[in-house]
Amino acid sequence: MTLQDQVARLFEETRDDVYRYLLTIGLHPPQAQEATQEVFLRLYTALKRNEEIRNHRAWIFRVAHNLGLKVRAQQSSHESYEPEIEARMMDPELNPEQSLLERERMVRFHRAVEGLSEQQRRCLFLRLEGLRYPEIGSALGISPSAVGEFLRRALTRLKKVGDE
Amino acid sequence: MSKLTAHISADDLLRLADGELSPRETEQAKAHLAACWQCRAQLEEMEQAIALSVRYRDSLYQRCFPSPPAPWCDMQQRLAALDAAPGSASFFERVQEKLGALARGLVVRPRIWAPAMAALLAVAIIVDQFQNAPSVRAAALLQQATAAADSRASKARRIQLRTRTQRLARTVGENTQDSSTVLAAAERRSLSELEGLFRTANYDWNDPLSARAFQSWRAGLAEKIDEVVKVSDPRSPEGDCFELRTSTDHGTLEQASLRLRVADLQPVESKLSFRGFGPVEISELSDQPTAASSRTSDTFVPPPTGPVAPPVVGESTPVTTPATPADELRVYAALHELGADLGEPVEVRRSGDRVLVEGMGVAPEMQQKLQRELAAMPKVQVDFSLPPAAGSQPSATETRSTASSLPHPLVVRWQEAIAKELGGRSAVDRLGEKVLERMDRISARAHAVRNLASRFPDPKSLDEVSRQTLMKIRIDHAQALQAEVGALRQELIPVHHALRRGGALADYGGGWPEVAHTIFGLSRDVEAKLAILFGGATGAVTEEFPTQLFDGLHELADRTGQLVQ
Repeated sequence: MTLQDQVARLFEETRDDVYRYLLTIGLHPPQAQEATQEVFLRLYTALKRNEEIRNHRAWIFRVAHNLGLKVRAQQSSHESYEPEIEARMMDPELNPEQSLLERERMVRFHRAVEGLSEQQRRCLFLRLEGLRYPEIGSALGISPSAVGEFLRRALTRLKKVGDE
Repeated sequence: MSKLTAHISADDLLRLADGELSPRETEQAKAHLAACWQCRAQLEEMEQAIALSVRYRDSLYQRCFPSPPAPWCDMQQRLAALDAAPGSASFFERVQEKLGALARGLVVRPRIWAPAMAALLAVAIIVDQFQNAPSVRAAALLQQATAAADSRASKARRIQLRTRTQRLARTVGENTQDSSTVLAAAERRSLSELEGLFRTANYDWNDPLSARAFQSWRAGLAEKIDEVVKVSDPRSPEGDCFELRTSTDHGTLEQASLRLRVADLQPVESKLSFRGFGPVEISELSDQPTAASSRTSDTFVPPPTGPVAPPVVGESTPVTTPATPADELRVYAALHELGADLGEPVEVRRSGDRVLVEGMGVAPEMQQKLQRELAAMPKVQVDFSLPPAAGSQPSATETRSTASSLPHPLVVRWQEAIAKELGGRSAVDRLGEKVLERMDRISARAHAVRNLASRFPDPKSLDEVSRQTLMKIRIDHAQALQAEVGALRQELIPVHHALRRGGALADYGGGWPEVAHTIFGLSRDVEAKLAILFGGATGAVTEEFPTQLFDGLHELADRTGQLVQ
């Protein structure tokens, strides 16, 4: 498999997750899509330069995270992308298989996530993408133990939603 | 890790669930869990919160977020295009090249160092951004331009479409009837042919000279290559435009470019190249038929051209006494209020009965502001056609040593260590941009403070009002400097970590628990000394006491930074 094939395959496998992760950072859909494509071009460039990349997925999300923040800073005159999440979560047509109870729980959970600190939220979303503590730490510029601490605090707060 | 008999901490439970404990710690934890219901229940609660998080993510991603607005590109083709393009140097290499060129220029014109440095760095960073992510930049620019267009009143306007053989005019915009209705039959046919061409290419015919038309066409392309460059505004030589160029191998429109005025992101020109037809240039006509024709001048005020004539402010005031330091300080205060004491090539000095404010290369807007601000002050003479005297701006010897073409081998090694710490060169590039920008601001402040100190070395010789003015400016600079330096230190924490790990910096030793113990010890030392100083406590007091207090405080701050590494 050539390097091009390898990156193209990673792109096929990961692009939707990267695109949606960038939406959680606040990028608008067109920019999130552009940035996603840009990440894989950078991955290709890095691999061609023989950069050592042990975990491609972690590298992709780290670069996506940093590029996303940069793009968001450039769109400073505009508000972050905020779709009507609560309304969509409660919409029975969009969520036919979910019970009303579950939909309400998801809305409460969303509010709890919104209430987390920026670092806690970023750690949570990157962990949800399968990144390990050192990889999250590398993306956010913090130590792995700090990642563990942020995640524990986040889960402690989110756990309460499950208890309600 | 807890002992076998003690409960497992919440941190370790999560690390266990996430597979982040060492094999030995995992074994210990599992042995404890087998025996302890309480810890098992806690772990289960944590797992439930994790499961809920996963359900939330799925719900958010699948049902709340829209699909990508355009088809995904063919990555194989993009990568092949990337291989065909000439390679680009890294950020370090590019910045070194740019700063090297700057340093060489400074030898010739040392007096204009500060504005040249600022301008060059700004250009370097803009160019770098453009080179880094043209497609992202293009999408962002188009979005900003459409938002800007939405915020303007929608008015009818006349545009010209120029093909290889013809020039055609038509009216576009809301609530207008196309002027083609009153055109000759031949022109109507030509416009109709163009309309067909635009529609086949999915390019908006109703308002083709708009960011929205460009954005909509571009968003529909599965394959495209973008470029974003900065060019002069064809209508106003003082202004600049962003030029977006997008080309594609698919469809009838092979390339489109759009020039957006930097000042307000209004489209000024567009060029479309159709396969088998050739180029169509679109521009706005200045001979507008309605009141709406003043649209451009409504929203765009060009900056004044040329240097402002050097008036003598306060000429009518009879001047008989020599200018005093207080007169000079008032001028400094005015400059400070406008931020003109930060990097602007302006010099203030006393000469006989006048306070002279001189400079060359001051931006016209700043010149006007300064003229207004200084107009009411007697004895002040302003001249922006002269270069400031030597010494008023940093000299060439104060510049960064960037003229050499190759970095020192040690620097290369450190850069590699930093790249390893941050996860690659691109992360280092971003950090480099950030800290260099911040350092520019710090340097400008430091220079302003030094300038102030050399002009007013003895505040006691000033009157009370001047002393307070001087103190206020000093405090302003000090607060800004503290904030900037604090932020810089934070930004450089990973660099510190990388260099320390690589042996380039003295290692305090130990992991974070050791650091925590050290912090505790230092905190107690500082507390004890403060208690002696302020709280009536007794203890060992020597001549070294103040030094020890502040050294301890300094180390405490350093070690605190280690906690987040």
